[in-house]
Amino acid sequence: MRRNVLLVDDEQEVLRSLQQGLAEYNEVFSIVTAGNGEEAIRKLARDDISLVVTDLKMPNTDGFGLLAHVMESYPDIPVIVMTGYSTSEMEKLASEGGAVGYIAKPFKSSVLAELILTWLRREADGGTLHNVSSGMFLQLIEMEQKTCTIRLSDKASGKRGVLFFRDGELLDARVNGFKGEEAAHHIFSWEEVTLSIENTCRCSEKKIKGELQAILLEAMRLKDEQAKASAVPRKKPVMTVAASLGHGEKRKKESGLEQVKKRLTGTIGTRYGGEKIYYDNAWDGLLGQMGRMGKLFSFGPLKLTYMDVGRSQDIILLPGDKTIMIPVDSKCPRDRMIHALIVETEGNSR
Amino acid sequence: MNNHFNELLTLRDVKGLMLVSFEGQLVLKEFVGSFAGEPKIDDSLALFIHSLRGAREIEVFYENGRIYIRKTEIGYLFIITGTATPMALVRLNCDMFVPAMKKMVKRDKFKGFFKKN
Repeated sequence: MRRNVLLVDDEQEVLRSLQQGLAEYNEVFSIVTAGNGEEAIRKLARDDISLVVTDLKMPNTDGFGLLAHVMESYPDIPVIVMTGYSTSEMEKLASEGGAVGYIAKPFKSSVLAELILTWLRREADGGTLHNVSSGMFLQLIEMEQKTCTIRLSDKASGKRGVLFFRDGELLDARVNGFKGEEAAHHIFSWEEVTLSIENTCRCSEKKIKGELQAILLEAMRLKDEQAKASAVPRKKPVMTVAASLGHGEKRKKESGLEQVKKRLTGTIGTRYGGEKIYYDNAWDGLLGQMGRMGKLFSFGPLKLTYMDVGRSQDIILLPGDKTIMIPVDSKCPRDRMIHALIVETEGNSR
Repeated sequence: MNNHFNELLTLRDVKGLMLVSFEGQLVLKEFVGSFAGEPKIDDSLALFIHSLRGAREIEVFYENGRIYIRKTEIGYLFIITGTATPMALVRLNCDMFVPAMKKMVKRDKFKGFFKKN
């Protein structure tokens, strides 16, 4: 199976030359490119990426921001950092941030290729199994109290997912934009899978609360329900389950932004100056750091971040499944706005 | 200068202060009372500071506490508070003493900075 490696650098010349240099490995991996961290974040959400190679100094979201985002949202994806401003301090920072490799520019593309291959091989260092029942296998993992990252591919749909186990305990799951229990339900509903086992787990936080057995049962129940729903005779054309889910999500997204807008308008009228409220995952890395800082002080989940970034507009960030970004006038009644948003956004935290 | 710091520490529900250099080194920290959560400040401060992207002022709200972060001449000042602290007062205090910190560029000058009870 050919994997995708995401190469991120703001210098097009570097991207081109690395792409050429790595072309001879395209039977093992293909290259996806991004010109900055923000573009990389979009491609991570859209494409099936196995490994990231990123420059550090870039406009918008830089390499450290991207690294923090990957650690937070895709802990199974290894990140290799490359930089033209290499110092031991920089290397230490990258390593502390979770990077698995560090390479100082200039370098030969064969050196980078070797590093990429080493990390891609690790995806299956615990072996690969074909045509197995995921439920049975995962119960074995639990019984043997294994620590591992399992990548699964559904034979029927071709979808791919990841499960994180530590000492046999299911910590987290990820598939097609879903995370946690919801993702586990999707994965456990797959009947026949190909899976590869990596004998490490870079995920440390337990995001799935339920027991494995209970999640497996719930996945089966949901699957049965879907099967029943699709067997009901239809009097008029209806949407498929997937299309209906998509439509529901879209409606939920719209109402989420609308609700925030209404709260602000209801509290302070239109004086907040934020004509534009939108989802923006470019701040996920920063919010991840904020969340970790809160844990140091046992402050519980993050609810809101207000930032004065030295421009005419300040920024309010609301964490959630998708980060909500509210640009506001720096002269707005800050405390009233924050109060309105914090009181009203219970449950929307990270 | 001492007075400004100590005034901040005596504001309602303020738990402590930290000053972290732009390189992520902890220059000083002071926690008041029996703040059980006096944290083990780890090595990831550098990454945290980097993630702030040079912002001038940040207010972070959690379910059970807040962190007010202010950029100064020598690094970022963190004021760790509970949920009852009037943030406007924290901001006001910082507005007053942050300019004065320009003179305190040497780390030694921060030694013995806080009142010892």
